[in-house]
Amino acid sequence: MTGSPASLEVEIAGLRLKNPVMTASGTCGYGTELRRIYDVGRLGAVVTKAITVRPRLGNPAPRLIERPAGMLSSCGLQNVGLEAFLRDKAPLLRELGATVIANIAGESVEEFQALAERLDECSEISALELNLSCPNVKRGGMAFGIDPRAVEEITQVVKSATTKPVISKLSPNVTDIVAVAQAAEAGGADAVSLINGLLGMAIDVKARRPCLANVTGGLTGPAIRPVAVRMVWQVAGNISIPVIGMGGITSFEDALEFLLAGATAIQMGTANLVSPLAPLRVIDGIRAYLEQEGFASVSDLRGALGPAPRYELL
Amino acid sequence: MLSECDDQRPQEIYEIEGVVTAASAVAADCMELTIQAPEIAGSCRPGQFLMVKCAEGQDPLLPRPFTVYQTEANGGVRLLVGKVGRGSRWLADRRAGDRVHLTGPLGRGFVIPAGLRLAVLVGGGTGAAALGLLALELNRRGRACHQSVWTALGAHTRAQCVGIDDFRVLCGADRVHVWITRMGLEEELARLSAYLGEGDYGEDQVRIFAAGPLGMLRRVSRFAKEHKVACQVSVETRMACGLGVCQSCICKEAHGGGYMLVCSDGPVFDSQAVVL
Repeated sequence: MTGSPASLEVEIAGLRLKNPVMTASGTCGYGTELRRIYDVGRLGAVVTKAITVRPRLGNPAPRLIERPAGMLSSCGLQNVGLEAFLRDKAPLLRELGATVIANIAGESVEEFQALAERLDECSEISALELNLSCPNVKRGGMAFGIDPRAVEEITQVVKSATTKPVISKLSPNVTDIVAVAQAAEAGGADAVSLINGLLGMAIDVKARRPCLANVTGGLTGPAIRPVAVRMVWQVAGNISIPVIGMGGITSFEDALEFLLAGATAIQMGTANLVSPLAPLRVIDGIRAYLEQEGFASVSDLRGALGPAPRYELL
Repeated sequence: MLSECDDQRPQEIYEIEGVVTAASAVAADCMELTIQAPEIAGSCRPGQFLMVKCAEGQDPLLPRPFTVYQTEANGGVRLLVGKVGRGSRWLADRRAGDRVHLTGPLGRGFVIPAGLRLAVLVGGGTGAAALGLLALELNRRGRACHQSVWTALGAHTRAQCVGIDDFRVLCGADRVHVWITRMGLEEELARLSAYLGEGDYGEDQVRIFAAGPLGMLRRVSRFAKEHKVACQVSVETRMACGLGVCQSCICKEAHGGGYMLVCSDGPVFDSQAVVL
C-alpha cells in the first residue's frame, strides 16, 4: 500500500480542491497579504474576510485579547464593502492562483441576497460562504445562526441568487448544532462549515472592566478544538452534504481529528496568525500520514473512525 | 541614495527558526538577543519588526512584535527585549543555542527623505530600539545623505536607557543627548528648539524620527507641529499577527475617521496622519 502517492484532492459541491486545507475567513485577508510569505496556490482554498454590502469601519480597540491557548476577538467585520471589493480586491485574486471562496455577511436577508447576486458575476470567486454569526438587525441584533428557520431562509435566498456553490458557516453558540445544520441542508446549502468562534468574555481584574471594547467576542484557537471536533462529528453523522471543519487546528494531527470526525475539508484560522506557514505543514503532514497508514485518498478518512475504546479493568 | 518610494517596495517575508547566538543584559529589565536569521538580516529596513513566538507550546499562543535593533553582516539580528509581560519574559530568558521562531521583516519603516540635512532621533525606553537600524543607515549613508544627526535618548531612570553606547558610535559621541524623566525630555526639546532656530532649514531638510512610549510620541509630535517640522513616529501596540490580517492593532486616522493597522500601514506613521 505504501509507496504510491496518496490523493489529497477533495470535492465540495462540484468544486474540486487540490487538498482539503483552507485558510479561514478573517485570518488571511483577501489572500494577497499572505503572498509575500508563500504561494497561496498551494492551499485547497482561501476564504476571504467577510464582505458586507456597505464598507464597515469595524469596532474600536481593544479588539483582541489573548487567553490560554486561544484568543478572544471582536473586530466588527471591518472591510471595504461590496463595491470596493469588486473594484479593488477581486481583480487581484486572479493572480493568486488559488481557489477563492468569498465569505459574505448581511444584516438582513435582503443584504445576503444582494451580496450573492453581485458576487455571482465575479469570476474570481468559486463559492460563497455565509457568515451566519452576524446580528440580524431587524430582530434586535440576535445572530441569524442561532435560529434554524433564519438559517434555512438565508441559505435558500442565497441559493436562488447565485450559481456558485453555497457553504453555510454555522455558529457554535446554539443548543442543538445538528438542528441548525439540517436547516442549512434543507435550505439547499451545498456544504456547511463549522465552527465559528465560541462567544466568550474576558475581564481585566485590575481595571475591573471588560477586556474588549465590544465586551464579548469570539473565542478561537486550540482552546476550542475539542468542542469543534464534537460538533463536526455530530453534524457529519446527521446530514448528507459535505462538512468543512475548523476550530483550533494548528497541526496535521489536529486536522486529522476533524477529517476522521467526518469533515471533507478543514479550515485553519488562528494558526495563520501564530505561524503563517502552518497550513503548508498541515498539507504535508496529512499526505505523509495517508501514505504511512496506507490510505489511497484523503476522502477515505471519512468513515475510518472506529468505535470508542472500552478498557476493561483487570 | 534610496528615494522614499524605494523604501516601500514589497519584500519577501520569512518564517524561520533562528538560533540565539548571544544574550546579554543591556539595561534594567532589558536583554539584548542576537539571533541568527540571515534572510531577515539581509533585507530588514529601519523601523521594521519581527513577530517572535514567545512560548514553547501554546500558551502564550500569539507571537509578540519586536523591532529589529541592529543587523549584522554575518546574518545576526539583534533585538532588545524589555521584560514587560509573560511572553517577553520568556523570550528574555533565551540563551545562546536556544531556537526562536521568527516571522519578518514586517511593516513599513522609517523613510529617509532625499535632501535631508538634519535627522533628529528621539527615543524613549526600550522602544528606542526602533531607531537602531535608522541610526545605522544614516551612518552608512553618511554625509552624502544628511549633514547631521541629533539624538536624544531617555527613560524614567538612567538604568532604563538603552543603546546609548551604540548610538554614540553610530551618530557621533557628541550627537547623543541623554534625558531622564519627563522634565529631562522637556529640557532636551528646548535645546533642540534653539538648535533648529540656528540652522536655516527648508521644509524637507529636517525630519524628526521618534520611537518610544505613547506619551513621549504625543509630546514629540506636538513639538514637531509647533516647529513645522515633519515627524515620523514608530507606534508600539499589541499585535496578534503582524501581517495585516487579524485587524486587531488599529489606530485612528487623523483625517477621514477610519482605522489604520499599526502592523501593515505602520508601525511608522507621519505623526500628523494618526491620532496618537
